[in-house]
Amino acid sequence: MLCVHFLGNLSSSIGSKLCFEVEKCVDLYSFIDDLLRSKGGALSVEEVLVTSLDGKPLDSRVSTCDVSDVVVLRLVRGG
Amino acid sequence: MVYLFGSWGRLLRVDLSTGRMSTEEIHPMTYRMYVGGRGLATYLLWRELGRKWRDVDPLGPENILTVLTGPLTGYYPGIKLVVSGKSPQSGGVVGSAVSSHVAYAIKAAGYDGIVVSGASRDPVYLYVKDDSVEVRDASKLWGLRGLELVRALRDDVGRDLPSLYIGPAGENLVRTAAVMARWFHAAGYGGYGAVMGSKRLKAIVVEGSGPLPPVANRDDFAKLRYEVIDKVAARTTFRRWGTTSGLWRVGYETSSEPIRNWQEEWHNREEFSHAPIERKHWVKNPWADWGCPLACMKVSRAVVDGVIYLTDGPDYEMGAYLGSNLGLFEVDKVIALSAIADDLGLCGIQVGNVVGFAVELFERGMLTEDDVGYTLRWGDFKSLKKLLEDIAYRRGFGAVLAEGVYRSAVEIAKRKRLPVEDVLKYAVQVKGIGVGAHGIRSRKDYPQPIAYAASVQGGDHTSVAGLPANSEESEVWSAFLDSAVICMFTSVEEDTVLKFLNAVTGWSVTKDELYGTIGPRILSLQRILLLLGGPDVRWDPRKHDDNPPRFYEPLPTGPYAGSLVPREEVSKNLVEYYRQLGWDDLGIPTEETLRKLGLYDAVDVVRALRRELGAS
Amino acid sequence: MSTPQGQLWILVDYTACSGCRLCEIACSLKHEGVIWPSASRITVYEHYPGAPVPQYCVQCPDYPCVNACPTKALRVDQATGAVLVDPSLCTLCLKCVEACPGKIPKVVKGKKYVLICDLCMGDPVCAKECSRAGYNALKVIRKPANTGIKHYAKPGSTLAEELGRKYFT
Repeated sequence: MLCVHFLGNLSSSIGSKLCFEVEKCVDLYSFIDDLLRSKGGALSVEEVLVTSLDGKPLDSRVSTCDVSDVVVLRLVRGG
Repeated sequence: MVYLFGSWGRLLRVDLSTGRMSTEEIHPMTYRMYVGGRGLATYLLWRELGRKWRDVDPLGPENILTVLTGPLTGYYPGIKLVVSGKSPQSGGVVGSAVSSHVAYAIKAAGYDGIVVSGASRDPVYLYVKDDSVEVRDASKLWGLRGLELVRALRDDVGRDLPSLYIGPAGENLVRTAAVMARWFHAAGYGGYGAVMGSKRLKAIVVEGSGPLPPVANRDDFAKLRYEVIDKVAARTTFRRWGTTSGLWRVGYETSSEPIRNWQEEWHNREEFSHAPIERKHWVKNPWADWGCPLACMKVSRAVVDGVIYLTDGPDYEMGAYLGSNLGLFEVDKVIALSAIADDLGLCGIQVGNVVGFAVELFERGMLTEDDVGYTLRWGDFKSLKKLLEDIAYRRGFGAVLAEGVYRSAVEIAKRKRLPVEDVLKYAVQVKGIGVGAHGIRSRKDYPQPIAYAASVQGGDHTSVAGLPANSEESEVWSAFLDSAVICMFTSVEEDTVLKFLNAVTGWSVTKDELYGTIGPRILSLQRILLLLGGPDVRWDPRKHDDNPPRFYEPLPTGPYAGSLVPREEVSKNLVEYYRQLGWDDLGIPTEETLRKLGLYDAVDVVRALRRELGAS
Repeated sequence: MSTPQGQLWILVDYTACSGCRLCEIACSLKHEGVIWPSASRITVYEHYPGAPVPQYCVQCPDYPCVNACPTKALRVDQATGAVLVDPSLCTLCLKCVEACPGKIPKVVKGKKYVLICDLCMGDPVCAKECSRAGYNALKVIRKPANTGIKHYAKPGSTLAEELGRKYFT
């Protein structure tokens, strides 16, 4: 089971937490990218930060099988 | 012995009234408590002006102008410095960040920042060359616009050196004047260009020939530096398109772009997008500031009526506020207006905000040709250009708008004998500061419903409040980036940024300390000074901790038509956000919080504030 | 005059240079152990927005600086073609600066000898840093046989003025 927690406005438009049964191990960043694109709002993984629950960065080598909870928040706050 | 790394522990102080120059040592403990930049500015202003805050005229010699770096400035990729003082817009403290090579030069000259007090009688500029500091005659530079000035300064000092400067707008004490840098860069929020102008200070030129101060842990620093460079350099689309891409995306995709004074936030104008702008206007991409691996800037060029105009991008804020917000979608003319605002030393956001407000009043018949002297119309380049100039030189009706959107609304109401609310309802501002170009009605952009209402910097889109207060959604994070001082666009996860801070400083700041004490300490002091306000503005949390009325009108067009900000959610979230920061329901820090934060000397001030507001 | 095998040259792409100065930062970190742009052997000049010009020793085929040095503090590294400074012999007489058509050797407060690009003994860190940041404005190539490389040795302010005018006026 992989739960994705969203912060800020992402939580009001996508939901504060979405959980998925992990059927096969895939690259976490691609997974988050697909998820964001499926929810609209023109966001891709390039525009968010993906961390563990305690805020540690998760790099692109992590797979969906390595983690159970991840936090997604918007990277650029301005511009 | 307490050692300091990443900073020198020394500020350059210049009193322009007396010509006296000195250095001030700052205790390492002060850095640990306030970090630097915005935090240190707030501390200095509180310490030196706090007791008489309400009487301090932001445009009088008693105000202090601070130009500060932070411990990460120069080390962390992506450079900024923070300009501050008592704001002529909000009456509080605004940390106004700007990308500038001056930031590293200040440190290379052996200081962490420059603090200017008093006011000169004649125009001057400050030339800092390591430990030799000169106040130079600027009578020949006074009146020059940005592009001419940068060249004239180069001739005057005999070489190309980084500078901060003001254009005519700052000289004329226009409250929407910015402190400018490197042609198109502005410390816009707060109105500190007018503060520089009030001190008759045309420019600050800095030549630093030394190294940056030592770092505590060189190995960690070297490792983290490449970690950040690699992460930031991987932001492919941001690098390629910069914030210009927001012109399409923030309008079409997220419905949060100001259009005709925020009457709409959605558009589908293909010409207002990075792809055609790149083809038609970009003459240089990438363009970056000192030590930056991102390069969000692009130099654009347009020729309008035979005149060559250059600007950055236009970056999203300039394009939105001097384009769509004024009903102008012809990009060549938007580039021209952006270049004109830069050259006049106007904050493009604030001036685009107040001009949009004026055009709407004109459209509604609340202003007429008799008031303005000419007709104002959406998208009419000639009159918009003239109005920008009139504002910068305080000519005719421009003198009213030169006071910024809040004060203009009050003045127009007075002239028209209208209830002030009837005019203020068209002013898209919070606590005297025009809201940045990211709306909150669609909920698809980053700012939350309380983003501006609860911000200690009012409408500042780079310092928004949000829940949870212990995450990057909170204004604590912006306050920290502005204190460290680093660029928001090159920032990464808080965990890595804190590691970076600790490697450079030798501190051991944790996430708990950041969100539990350091952030709330800076924000609490900023909040107290904002509520003290004065001399001409005073904010009541029950009335002014709120969104501009327009944000409660439903969006009229686009995929999120009908969307608005629910009032109940705003009031509920405000209280919750305040509670998480250790503030009471009105957003006044509790005495317990102040003691916990070590702000003992604020306890009696807060007691008096609470009494005045009739709160228990 | 033939160019010995292995000698290097740094080819700059002005259109790719962002003006970010990461090259200066990397150079000073490598040579001085600290971030010290003034002591960087490469310097970026920018007189017009978006027209930055990195300037550094171009290893003129006739090495006028080396020939002008009265104390023999300068010599050519045959392996790379770079001009190497012997700190113990340099008296900061500035004859090399006078001889250099670009006035490129740097004199910096706190350093007792002139600073000239040493091509990092064959692996220039500025170019690596530039590529790492994704700009690729500095490319390391085999030293051209063409004597025209000397024409890059001009004062930084002249280069920045010429490039900027071409773009923007």
